[in-house]
Amino acid sequence: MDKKQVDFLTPAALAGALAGLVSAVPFFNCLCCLWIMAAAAFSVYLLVQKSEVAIKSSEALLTGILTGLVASLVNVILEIPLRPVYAVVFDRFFESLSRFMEMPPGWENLTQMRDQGFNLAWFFLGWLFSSIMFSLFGAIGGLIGYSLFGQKKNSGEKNAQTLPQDDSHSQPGL
Amino acid sequence: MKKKIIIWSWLLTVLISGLLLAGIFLPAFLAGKNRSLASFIFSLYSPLCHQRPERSYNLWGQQLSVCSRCLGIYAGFFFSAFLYPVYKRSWKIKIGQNFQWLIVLALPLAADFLAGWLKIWDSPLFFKTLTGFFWAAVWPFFWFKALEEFLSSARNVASAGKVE
Repeated sequence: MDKKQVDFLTPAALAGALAGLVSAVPFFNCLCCLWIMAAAAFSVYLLVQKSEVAIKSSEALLTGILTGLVASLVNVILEIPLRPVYAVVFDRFFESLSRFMEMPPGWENLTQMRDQGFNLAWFFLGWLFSSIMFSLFGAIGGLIGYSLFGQKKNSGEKNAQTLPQDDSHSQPGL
Repeated sequence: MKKKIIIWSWLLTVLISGLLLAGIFLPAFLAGKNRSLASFIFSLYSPLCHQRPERSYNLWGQQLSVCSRCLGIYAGFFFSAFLYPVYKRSWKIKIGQNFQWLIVLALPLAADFLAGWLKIWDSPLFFKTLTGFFWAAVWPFFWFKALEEFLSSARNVASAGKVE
C-alpha cells in the first residue's frame, strides 16, 4: 500500500462521531477530555489495523486532529436539541447535592450562567472554540494511540528489516 | 527554514495553550463586570469538563471554568510547552524517544480517578491537579516532535509538487 493512500478520514470520522455523541450526553461527559482522547487513540488503532505500512507519529497527530474536528461537529449539532435536557439534569443534580453537602459559594449563580438563551454568533464562536479544544485533545489522544498501537507495528517492521537476508550471515540454530 | 517552523510552532502552541489556560480564570474575573460574557466563556469549557462545583477551585467567590484535574492538565501543558526550549536538549532524548511515558505518567491520574470512582478514597483537589499537571507536562515532548515531523513532511510534499 502506498503511504500516500493511507485513509485518515474513515477512522477519524467513525471515532470522532462516537466521541461527539458521548461528549454531548449528560452524565457520560463526567470523564472530561478523556473521551475525545480515547476516541483519537481508537482512530489511530483503526488506522494501524487498516494500514499495511507502519504509521508515523505525525500521521497519528493528524488522525487525532481530524477525530477532534469530527467530534466537535457532532457534539455541537447534538447539543442544540439536548440543551433543555442539560438544564433539567444540571438543576436536579445540584439541588439534590446541596441537600447533602455544603456547596461552594456562588453555586446558585452557576445555574443562571448555564441557562442563557440561544445566540447564533456565540453559537459559532463556541463551535470554533470547541473545534480548537477538541482537535488539540484529539492530537494528544492520537499520540497516545501511537504510543499504544503504532510503535508495536513499527518495532515489528524494524525487527523484520534487521533479520539477516543471506543464509550465510545467520547463526546456526541450537 | 526548519528553525523558523520550529519557532513558529512553539510560539503558536504557547499562545493557544496560554489563552486556553487564561480562559479558565476569566469567568471568575468577569463575573462581576460582564455576566453574560462570563457565562459564555464558562460554557465554552463545558463539552470537555463536568465543571462540578465540589471538584473545582473558586476564585473571588466564583467557580473556575474547569475542574481541578483539568486545571492541572491545562497548566501542565502550558508551562511545559513554555519551558520546552530550555530543557529540550537534555530531556528530549530521555523522554521524547520513548512514547511509553505518555502511558506511565497517566497511571497516577488513572489510579486516583478509579479510587475515587470506586469510593475507595476521595483525593483532595490539589492532588487531582497534580496528577493532571504531571501527565500533561510530558505532552509537549511528543507534541513538538510529531508537529516537526508533520510540518517537514508537508513541506516535502509541497516541494515535490513544485518539481512535478
